[in-house]
Amino acid sequence: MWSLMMIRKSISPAAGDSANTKEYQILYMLIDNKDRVVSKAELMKEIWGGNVDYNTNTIEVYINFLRNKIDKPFGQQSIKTKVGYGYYWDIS
Amino acid sequence: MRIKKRILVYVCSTVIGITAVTFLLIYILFYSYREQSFRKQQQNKIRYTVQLIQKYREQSAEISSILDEQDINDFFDEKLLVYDKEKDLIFSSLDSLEIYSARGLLHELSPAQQSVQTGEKHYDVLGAYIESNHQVYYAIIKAYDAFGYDKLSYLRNVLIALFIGFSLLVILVSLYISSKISKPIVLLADNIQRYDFSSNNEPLSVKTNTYEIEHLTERFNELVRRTNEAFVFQKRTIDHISHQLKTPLAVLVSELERISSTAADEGIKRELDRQVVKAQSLGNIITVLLEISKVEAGQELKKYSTRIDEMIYDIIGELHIIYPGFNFHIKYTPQEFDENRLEVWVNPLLVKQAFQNLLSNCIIYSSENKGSIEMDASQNGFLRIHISNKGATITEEEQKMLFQHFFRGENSRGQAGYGLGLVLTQKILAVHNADVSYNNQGDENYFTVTFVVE
Repeated sequence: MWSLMMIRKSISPAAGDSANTKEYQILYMLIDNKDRVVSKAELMKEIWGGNVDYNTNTIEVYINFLRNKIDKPFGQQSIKTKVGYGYYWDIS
Repeated sequence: MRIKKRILVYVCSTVIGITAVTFLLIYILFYSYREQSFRKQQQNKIRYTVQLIQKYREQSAEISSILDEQDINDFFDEKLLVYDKEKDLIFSSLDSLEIYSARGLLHELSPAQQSVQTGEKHYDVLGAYIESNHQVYYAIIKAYDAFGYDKLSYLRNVLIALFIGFSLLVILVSLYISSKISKPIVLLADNIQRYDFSSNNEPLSVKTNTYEIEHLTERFNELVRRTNEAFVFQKRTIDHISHQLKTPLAVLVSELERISSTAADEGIKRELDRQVVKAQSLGNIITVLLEISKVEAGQELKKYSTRIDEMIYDIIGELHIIYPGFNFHIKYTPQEFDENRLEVWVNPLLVKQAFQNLLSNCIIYSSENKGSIEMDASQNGFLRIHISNKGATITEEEQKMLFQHFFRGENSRGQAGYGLGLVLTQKILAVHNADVSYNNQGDENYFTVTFVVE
């Protein structure tokens, strides 16, 4: 949990400990389900709720924001894409 | 233009202009006087010469040399021709100077036209008809008025030197006077410029013995005092109204939440939750109205860096409680961009209310159970939020009044409301240097909010 708290601050430093941004929620969900692929529909439903259409590029845009913060600066690829299905966490 | 510069320019241009015209007039008058004086002198010369010709007619062979000797002593650089009444040349001075216009002048001369004059380069040429001892003579003289031109040149140099000297003096005096006159005004303007209206400053004071400046300073201090009093009164009134309206609403929300938590029936519980959201929304509207009135009264609005898309998701979440069947299709343009372009410096409370109005309208006036939101960051320096739905559109006539108080279009018939939501939305966005616009295509309504992203 501590490491997630640090990540949360790095994602949204202005919001501090009370941060509950969508990016943090996506990251939390991927890490929490690191043994499996999380589908786009699942992410949309859990994070955006039932009132946002699943057919949207929102997830792609947010995954891109996340990669710019936690992968690109360190030359790694921790959020991987399962084409046509979803995303999974792989830090190996 | 500063008042000092204005005084300087006006005084200098007026005085120097008048001086230049006066000096030019003096020069022109003197130039004319020289011409007249020289011609008079030449006429006397002709008359004297003709008298000599008459007197020594019989000694005509020697007359030329005698006259010329005298001429050369009297004048330099001149030519005299004398003709008899038949216009035959009877005398010509020895000077080699030629009179090119002699024939023409001689032709013009007659008893009716007794004097004609012209010029050849710097020379004055004069033709004269003379009657002496019942004899008629015509004479033409060409001469250079060296003495006159010398005086004219001297006068011109004196006038130019005087003009330059006088102009410099006028500029220096004007600088001093303009500085002296404008000093208290400039001091007053600087003091007003530096005056901090947001804090309770001491009354303005300007050391001057000018009645108008003293009066202006007194009136300014009076104005500031009254404005401060008005601000204090307004602040107290706003705080009072805010307290009187928001406290009962907070109590109402709290009571509704308490009843909801104890309600056994799921239907009643859901309805109570909707009423809680509506009451909270009413509280927010009151807060927004008070904030806008503060801004319009000159108070500064507190702004924070805010992710607009996150704010919109929060609003969608809240609206979902009231309208659970409605879905939003959300799209980002382009697919990849710097997320900072979604951050705008705004007052979150106010802008949230603006979007809440637009999204509520999108739901209420939609013919389907869905609407679209596009976060458009494709143009550098701008963030556009397009909100669209399908439903009855607004006519071109109605669009002109869309953002006016109490306007309700044909499509709002049967819907609750007072026609204030869009006015409020536009006011909120205006204080954030943003705007909202409407257009439609077919049965699609589009509202576009445009932020300038720094």
